[in-house]
Amino acid sequence: MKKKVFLLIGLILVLSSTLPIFAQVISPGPASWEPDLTSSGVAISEPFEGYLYDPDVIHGGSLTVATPSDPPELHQWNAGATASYDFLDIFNDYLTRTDPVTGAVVPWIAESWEVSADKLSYVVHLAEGVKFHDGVELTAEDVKWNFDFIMANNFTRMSDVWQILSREKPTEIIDDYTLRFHVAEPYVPFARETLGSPYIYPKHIWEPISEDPTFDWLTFVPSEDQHIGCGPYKFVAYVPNAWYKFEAFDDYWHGKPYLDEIVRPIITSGDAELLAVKKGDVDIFTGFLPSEAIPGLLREEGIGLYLYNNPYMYHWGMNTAKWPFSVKEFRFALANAIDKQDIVDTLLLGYGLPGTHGVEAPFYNFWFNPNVPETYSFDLEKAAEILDDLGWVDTDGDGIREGTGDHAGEPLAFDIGPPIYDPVRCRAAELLSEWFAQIGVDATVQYMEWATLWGKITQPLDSPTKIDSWLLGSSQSPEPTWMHTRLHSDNIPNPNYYGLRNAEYDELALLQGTQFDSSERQATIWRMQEILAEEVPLVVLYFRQSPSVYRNDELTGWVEHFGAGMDHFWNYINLRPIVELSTMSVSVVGTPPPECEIGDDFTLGITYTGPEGPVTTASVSAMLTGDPTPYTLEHVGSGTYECDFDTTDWHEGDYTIRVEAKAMGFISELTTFAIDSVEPFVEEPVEPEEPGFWESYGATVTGVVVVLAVIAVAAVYMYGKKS
Amino acid sequence: MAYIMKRTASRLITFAVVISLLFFLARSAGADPFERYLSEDPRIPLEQIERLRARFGLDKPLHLQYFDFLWNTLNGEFGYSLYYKRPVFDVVMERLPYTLFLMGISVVLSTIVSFVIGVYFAYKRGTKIDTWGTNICMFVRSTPHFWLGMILLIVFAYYIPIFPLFGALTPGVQHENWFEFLKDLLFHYTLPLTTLLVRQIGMYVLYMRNSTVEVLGEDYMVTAKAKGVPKMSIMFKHAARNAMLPMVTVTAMRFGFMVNGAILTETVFSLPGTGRLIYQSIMNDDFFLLQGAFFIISITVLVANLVADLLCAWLDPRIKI
Repeated sequence: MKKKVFLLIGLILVLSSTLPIFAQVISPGPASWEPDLTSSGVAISEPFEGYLYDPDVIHGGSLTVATPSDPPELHQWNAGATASYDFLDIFNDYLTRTDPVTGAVVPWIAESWEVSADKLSYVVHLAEGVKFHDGVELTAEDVKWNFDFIMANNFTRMSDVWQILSREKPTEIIDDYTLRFHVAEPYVPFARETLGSPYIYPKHIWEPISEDPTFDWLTFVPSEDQHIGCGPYKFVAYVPNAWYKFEAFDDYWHGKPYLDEIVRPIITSGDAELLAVKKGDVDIFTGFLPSEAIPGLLREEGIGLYLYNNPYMYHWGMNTAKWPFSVKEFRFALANAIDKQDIVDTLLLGYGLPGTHGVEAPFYNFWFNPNVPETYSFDLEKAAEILDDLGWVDTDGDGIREGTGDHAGEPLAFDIGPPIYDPVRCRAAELLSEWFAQIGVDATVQYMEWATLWGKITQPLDSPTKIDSWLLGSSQSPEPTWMHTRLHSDNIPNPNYYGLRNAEYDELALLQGTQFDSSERQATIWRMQEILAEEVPLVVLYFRQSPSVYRNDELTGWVEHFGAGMDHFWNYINLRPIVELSTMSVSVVGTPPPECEIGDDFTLGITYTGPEGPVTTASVSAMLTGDPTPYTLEHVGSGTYECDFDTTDWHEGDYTIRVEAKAMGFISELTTFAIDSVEPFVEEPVEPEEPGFWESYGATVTGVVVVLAVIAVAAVYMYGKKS
Repeated sequence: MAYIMKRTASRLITFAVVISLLFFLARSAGADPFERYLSEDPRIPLEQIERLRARFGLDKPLHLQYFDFLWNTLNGEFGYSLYYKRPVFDVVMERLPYTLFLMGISVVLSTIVSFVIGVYFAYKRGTKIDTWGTNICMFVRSTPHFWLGMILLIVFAYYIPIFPLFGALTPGVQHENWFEFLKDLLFHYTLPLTTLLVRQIGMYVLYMRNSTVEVLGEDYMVTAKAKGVPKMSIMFKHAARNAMLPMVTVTAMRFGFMVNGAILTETVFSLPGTGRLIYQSIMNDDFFLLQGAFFIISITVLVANLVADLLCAWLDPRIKI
């Protein structure tokens, strides 16, 4: 039996130790500025300069950013998960992008565009020299193919293309770098939302794939050699369950990225990720960081912290079709009973902004209306007064007010539903309930699992299962079309869960979608915010400010994005290594004469040597007193740079030559030479030289030789004939 | 043979009940994975969501979905993961080897070590070694996985940076051969394996000790001692052999549960594995992945159960097959 047991144990050990090898085999490969205000509408305050490519930056270094899971989708047609975009964003590129500082549209591969007078077509000009990672140039054909492909398939996440472009003729090619887009109806945010929606995939790779009869965009998994994009980094490898890696693309149209590579390890534990950032294994922390952890982190060396605005508005929404929320004054009263600043201070520990009356986030500067009248503020007495004025008082002495008229005797009671997964919203709901209780309103907190809560929020307004009020986080964006989508009465009950019906608001919501003039559109958006402040269909409680932790001791050039942590595209192209500069030693091998005369020539030569030998990649230039044109010293080998000077055009006087050498990784060196005196050229009399023998008699001698030769030839001929 | 047939038949019935249960359990949450799209982007038309639901058969009545599920499962089709949009089988198989690696080694090593230590403690029962050892084992088995894992990480990967902080493989390193790959893998699995081993040894030492203590009280052990049989021989040849039968059953069962993985250990050390996959599929409302993963777990547990029965019968001459 002993043998059997040992045999069994041995077999199991051998088998289990070889299993991960099968994992590798089984896993399928990776299975495989000018700002355009007319369309962006966001004012440029300080143009972002990160996109201006600096050729003098020293390249190198690696950026390591964790991702919480494998990318579930590996191409844009079925992508939906954040983890998938973590993967795709690094090696793909868009026609337009959003400025990380101002939020304006940045022309990118689409260099410029013009809209027609009827606003139904756009001529888009592409940058020339944009290349895919396999060396093929991106042309209008590629762009057309991508947009036509979306129109043919109606991809779920690309409704900004297929709901906007004309069905009959979405795109047409004008030339290799120019296209015309046709829209079904005028669409103001066309440049940001439509042009900037899809990555531009290479037609020569994806057309054959899509034409395969077995191709199914929902379940297709590209192979490693199909990860070809036109983004700043190119795909290197993806080891499922472990990491993926990209390296700088030499021919990136915007200039080779400064970093050599980006590595994204999969780290599932936030604690381990934070330790990895502190240790230096990871450069950016992407997990959720509790506010309490921030003070300790700030004491660490080499750690930077940036607080960015979270685009989600965390709000208390209510079903305005249901009594007592159907009474506007009641909504007002309750809005006055909410201390938003207290929520920010106590629940978010100060890492947030109190919600605005006009709903729009204050950090979208251009669209945010700072003049919205303060229709409510935290004032429990005022809140109680409004209820008293309505006649809603506590008639039965139970501490809860009752309604009047049709609702006489009906207590002011309702539910508030926070999602149970978010402790902040749960606690905020409790605070609301406590404040409301102080003015005689009974709000019961119903903690709900998200799916259940969501089902109850999206019910029709008159559904008995629709929840009375809820705490929801809904995203805003630099593009204010969401104010139409979320709150127009046509969109009741989803996503206008609140049931807001206001004729002026509806009209303005439609109008702003047709206003190509950004100041006019701004005025409309501002008025919409005033209406929301008057109607109070929802009360924005807070906007979170999230800390983004990153290491600043090895990389520099960090771009602070107005609405994202440090893990974003602009950092991928703007980060560069912090380099300690070395000194070059200078040895002069060709010195200009301290004194010379006009017309003299001389060669200036300097040898530069670094800690590891001659510096052969320097750019060396010389400036001469009074001469605005720089002279270039050419490298002649072994770190020596030379330039010939001709003094013919010089004037009498003193001259200085300043030579500056610049080389990557070195401190610039300046060497100065002085020529104390340049004398005018004095012509000395030249004595004529005696002509030589040949100059004097050359012609005579040659003539005699020729005549003699002719006579000799004739004599030989005559003699030959005679004999 | 009748014994084998009987056992197999009872396992098949259990299996049928289990897969039906897991189908309804997976859907009991009532969430629709595609509604998530709507909450993120309200502009997506409802028809589009309906089309997606139809693609995955989620538009059919529940009983029809159940029959589809049974039919497909019997045909070896586990469907497509809603989250990964790839065949469930592929997604599970990509992670299963890592889990089996971690759990396989920990089960085997912890069994061997706890076998030896357990027998020794039993032999030394009542002495200081036994008292201290038993208490330490009690303490260790009471420590939560994630706590022990975090402590090991902080000490041996952060303050004394010997081992890596996360992952199964070094990020960005492409291994030249399988040897390099295995070396890197073992380096990354040292702390997770230690976490599991420490706790499991603590647990199974007590198990083996108690089982051996019972055997040591038998008359034939007194006889062996009286006969002057050497100590080692009494411990391992006579006592341990008879005490190990329950241990064999437990070990076989532990193999059955290996596929579940060790969710907490996998999460703390950022390791790939089926444990975490199951957790994620619940969070993502990924019905098909959940069904597929549970299906594989059910099979392995039932097979391990069967193997345990057969092994016991093979090792214990009193059981007639």
